Amino acid sequence: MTKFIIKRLLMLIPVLLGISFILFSIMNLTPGDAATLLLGDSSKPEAVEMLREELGLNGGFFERYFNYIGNILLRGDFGISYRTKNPVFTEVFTRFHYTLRLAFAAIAISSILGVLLGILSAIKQYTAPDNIITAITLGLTSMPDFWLGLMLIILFAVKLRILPISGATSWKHFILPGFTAAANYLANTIRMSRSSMLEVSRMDYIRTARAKGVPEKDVIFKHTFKNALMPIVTLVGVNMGWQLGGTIIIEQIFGIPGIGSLMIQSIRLKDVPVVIGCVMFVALLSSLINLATDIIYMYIDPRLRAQFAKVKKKAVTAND
Amino acid sequence: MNRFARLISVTLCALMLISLAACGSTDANTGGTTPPVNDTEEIVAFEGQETPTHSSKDSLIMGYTREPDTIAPGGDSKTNAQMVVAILHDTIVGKDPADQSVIVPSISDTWDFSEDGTEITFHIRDDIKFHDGTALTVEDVLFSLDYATKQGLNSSGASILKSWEDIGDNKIKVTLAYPYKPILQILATPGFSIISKATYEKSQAEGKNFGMMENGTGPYKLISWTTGDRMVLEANNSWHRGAPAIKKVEIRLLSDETSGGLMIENGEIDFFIGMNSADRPRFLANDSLEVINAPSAGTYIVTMNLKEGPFADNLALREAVAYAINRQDMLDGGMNGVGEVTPGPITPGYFGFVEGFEPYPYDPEMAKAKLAEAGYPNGIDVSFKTASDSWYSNPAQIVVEQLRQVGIRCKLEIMERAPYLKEVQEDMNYEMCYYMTWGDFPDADPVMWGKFHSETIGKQMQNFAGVDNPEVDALLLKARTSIDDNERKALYAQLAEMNKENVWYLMILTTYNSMVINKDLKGVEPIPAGYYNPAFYYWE
Amino acid sequence: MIRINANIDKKSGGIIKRRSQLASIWFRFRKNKMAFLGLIMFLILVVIAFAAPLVLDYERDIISQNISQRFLGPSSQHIFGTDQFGRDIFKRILWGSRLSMFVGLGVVGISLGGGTIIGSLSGYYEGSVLDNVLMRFCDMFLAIPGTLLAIALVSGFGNSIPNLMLALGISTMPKMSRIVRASVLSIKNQEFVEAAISCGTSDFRIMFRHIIPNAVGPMIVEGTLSVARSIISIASMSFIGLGVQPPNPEWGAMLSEAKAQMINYPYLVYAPGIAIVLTVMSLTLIGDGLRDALDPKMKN
Repeated sequence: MTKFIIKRLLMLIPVLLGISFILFSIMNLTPGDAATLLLGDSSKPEAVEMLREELGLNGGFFERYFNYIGNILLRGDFGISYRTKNPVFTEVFTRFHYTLRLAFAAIAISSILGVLLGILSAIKQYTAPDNIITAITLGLTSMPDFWLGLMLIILFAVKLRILPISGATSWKHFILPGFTAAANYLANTIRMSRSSMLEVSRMDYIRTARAKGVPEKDVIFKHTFKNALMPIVTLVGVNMGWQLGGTIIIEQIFGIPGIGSLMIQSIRLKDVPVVIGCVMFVALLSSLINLATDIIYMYIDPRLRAQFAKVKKKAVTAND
Repeated sequence: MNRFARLISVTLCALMLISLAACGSTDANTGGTTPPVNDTEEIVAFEGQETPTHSSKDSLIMGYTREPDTIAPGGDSKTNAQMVVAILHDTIVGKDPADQSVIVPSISDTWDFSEDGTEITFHIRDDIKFHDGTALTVEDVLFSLDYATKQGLNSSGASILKSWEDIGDNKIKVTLAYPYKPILQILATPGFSIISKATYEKSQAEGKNFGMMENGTGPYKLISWTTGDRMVLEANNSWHRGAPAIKKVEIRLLSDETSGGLMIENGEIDFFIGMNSADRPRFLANDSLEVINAPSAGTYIVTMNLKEGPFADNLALREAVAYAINRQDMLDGGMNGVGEVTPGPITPGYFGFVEGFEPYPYDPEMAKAKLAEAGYPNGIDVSFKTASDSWYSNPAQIVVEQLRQVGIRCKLEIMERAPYLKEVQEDMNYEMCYYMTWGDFPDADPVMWGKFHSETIGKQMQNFAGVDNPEVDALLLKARTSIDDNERKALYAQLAEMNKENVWYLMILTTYNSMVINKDLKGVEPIPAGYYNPAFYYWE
Repeated sequence: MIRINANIDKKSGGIIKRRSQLASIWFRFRKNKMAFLGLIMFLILVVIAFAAPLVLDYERDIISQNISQRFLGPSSQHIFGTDQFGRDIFKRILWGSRLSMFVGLGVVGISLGGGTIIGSLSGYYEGSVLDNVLMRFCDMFLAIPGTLLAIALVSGFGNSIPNLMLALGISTMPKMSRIVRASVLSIKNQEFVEAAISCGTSDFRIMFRHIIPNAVGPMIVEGTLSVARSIISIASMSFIGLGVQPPNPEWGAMLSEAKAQMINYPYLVYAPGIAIVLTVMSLTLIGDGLRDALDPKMKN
């Protein structure tokens, strides 16, 4: 188990290095650089040259890459933003809480609604509610999230004027984006909880419970749901990981100054350290969340733990 | 073993949760980039930020859409950033809020030009204090000039200023590279703001970001700055041009134009810069709002590459383009009609603007005839590049369609700004393009010199058509160094005429720098460059 | 899980058996009402995409502007109204189906092509250095949010349809590789592959004649669903200005243009969005239906 965790953590290192190299190459081998963009429309070439020198944009590609990586590995220094001259760390952390809030809103909405609708759909299998929920699920998966966002804006912010159209200064600002971001995961969660509930309800122990006269409500919530929870927990964890990096366009539409907006802004301005910093941060975080999900999963499900131990034993014997 | 594993995993999970929670809470409290000068000030927490929707009589809520990157003078070229710099700082000389072309005393109360116009002596006031209470000295002014001339944004001004020195008696002497009439206009731009030498040195010594440390002498001081949310400013009651009537200014950093429009309609903000032109009719129809238009400093231009490709050495082809363009349609369809069509190279409101200048008329038949004359009776295929912002891509789509109607088939390439600047402005790798250029101050010289002088060819954002004509160079030099206004005007009129004859640049339109305000707010004058300063506003 | 035994007979026998297998898949597919509905919707879209140039003239109907006719609301003359350049939205939507389909198929072609090569190599040589290297590469790309990777690629290399296809293709390739690898792994240990190996057949031949053809089922399912997802990605990219360029009437690009006018003329954003939803829905239904039809045990 410990070995497993350590191995997973160690595997992150080459992945993060790889990410930094991939992005560094993309950002640096394509035309245009930050100096030109930052100085604006009436700058002189000498000034551009000066700024290039100051930002260290003049060295060879590998020289600059190794400098960059060297600073990270040796000093934990992720560089400074070309745009604001703040350390990348500050840049990322002043924006991150917005993304985090959006992610929490989305996960909360999708998990609660998703599980409830999924259960409803399962216990009313093949009836009108089930069909309606299935249709909603289908609609949500087929809908581009940005379009859903625009529709919600038109309805709630423009026609009804009960929610703000964009920005991130109060909890009200997170309702529409939260729902928009939740939409896709909502569909997944509904599907997953429905099929998981159905699967468990075919188990012998559920039949036994019914046979011995346990009230239907208890059958559903105490017996079936508890056992159907496992895959749902994983899904929520995976969603959380994706949510942190996957809300770029939603942040754009709703004007949330989170990591996604920062990344887009920085890509457009060729603010390389910020782009790489953001992506590494998001990648690290979602890997950690995935790891945590796996661990939680193992503790919830004793069967899996047993299986894991068996696999490990097998592996050990194979190694001998 | 098992217990150990459980311990590790539980700790790991707990750590993650704690770190997540910590990120959320710390940032909500400190708001990240609060300037260190005022870091004792606690910013209101996230939940409690529903601010009163009505401004009391001595406070003002402004909204604008593009957040500054930094508040260091000359550090961020965006108009909005410059505006904040101008609110927080003073310049050596100031501008009259009602008429921007009039220079008024500021840090310097009197000044003299030397006989030949190359030396200026400024007397610096000794009773001015920075926001932190320290007195402003001649040394700070000299340091500010050192600092400003190193900023890329100021490079056109910096090349005129040759040297500056302390000549005692609270006076400084500024020497120019050549006599230059609009130099005071340059020194009054926010890029040349006066900063405190001590603060700058402190920031360097402590390894802090100077762009986040505010210590100017201007009418307002920065109390707090929450990225993505708002900046809070407080009046500097000892400001040397008089205590501002509005004591507290909140600048809301909005995410987009549309939300700003809704907010001012709901009365949540009093002053909104950067409206979506599509929303303008709604504001005009609203009795409690007032729309203020200032001609913007920027002129949008269709440019053909004069150095290589089909347009080089083919005047008839360029004339065909000139006749094919319907400026009014571009303005109506591409900019929602907000602005004016511009016939000549100099923006209305700028010194050197030529009254009654007529561009080529819109005449598709003539364009077709010219196209045949140019050697392309069956039409021609060219590429047309522009940047991706809607204010470029929308009018560009219209002009491309107009050109297609007469047989000039353009392949429209809408590019991200980075590659666009590199390919078009720097490498001149294009056939036609559509872009905007602007002048830092309301005089013809920077725009005309940049656009037409041969020394600026191939340097980014300057003469990217490639106008290379010794006669033009001579006229530009004469106009730049002349101190006779009438002569300068005549020279610029002559240049505008030459541009028309040779079809070097096709000036299309300028937009209005529109803003919408609560109609009870008074003292707001339209300013072409858009550096609005609430120090001169008051409520009625 | 896939029925592979059918294909290992000699050629002639195999074909007969395969046809019967196809027939049974079709039978199961047709019984699935939703999937069949999806297929019909999709066929209608295909007809529209092919018929558009026969009925409409690109220059006259699609890109030609009329500034005096801007923002005319829906009417009998313009069913969905006109846009900010006075163009008929209905005609543009019809034409847009061509772009979405074409680019969507292109993206999946690239990701499926690349994914098949990477996935089958790494699956076949499971545990080798090659497998490890390829999979670590996939891990790296998977750790970068797909949208972000595509945005970085397109904004760097320039907005054009080929660049967009390439960027989206590359950003979906790792996932595709994983799927192909998994199904190659499940086939690799079947008896008929062992038989081929024992006959001394070359690796190349085993891979392309025996393994990949048997992995086609899940690849088709994934491909269909992937086209659906790609159409959404294309629209999203165009929406933020990094996809299909105006004046091309791609649906996402139309939404992007409409966004600034959304408050004043909300009808502009309805039609293109509905077009996307219907297209994506039809493909999703087909994909789900195919999955069930290929593998009846998977259902529920």
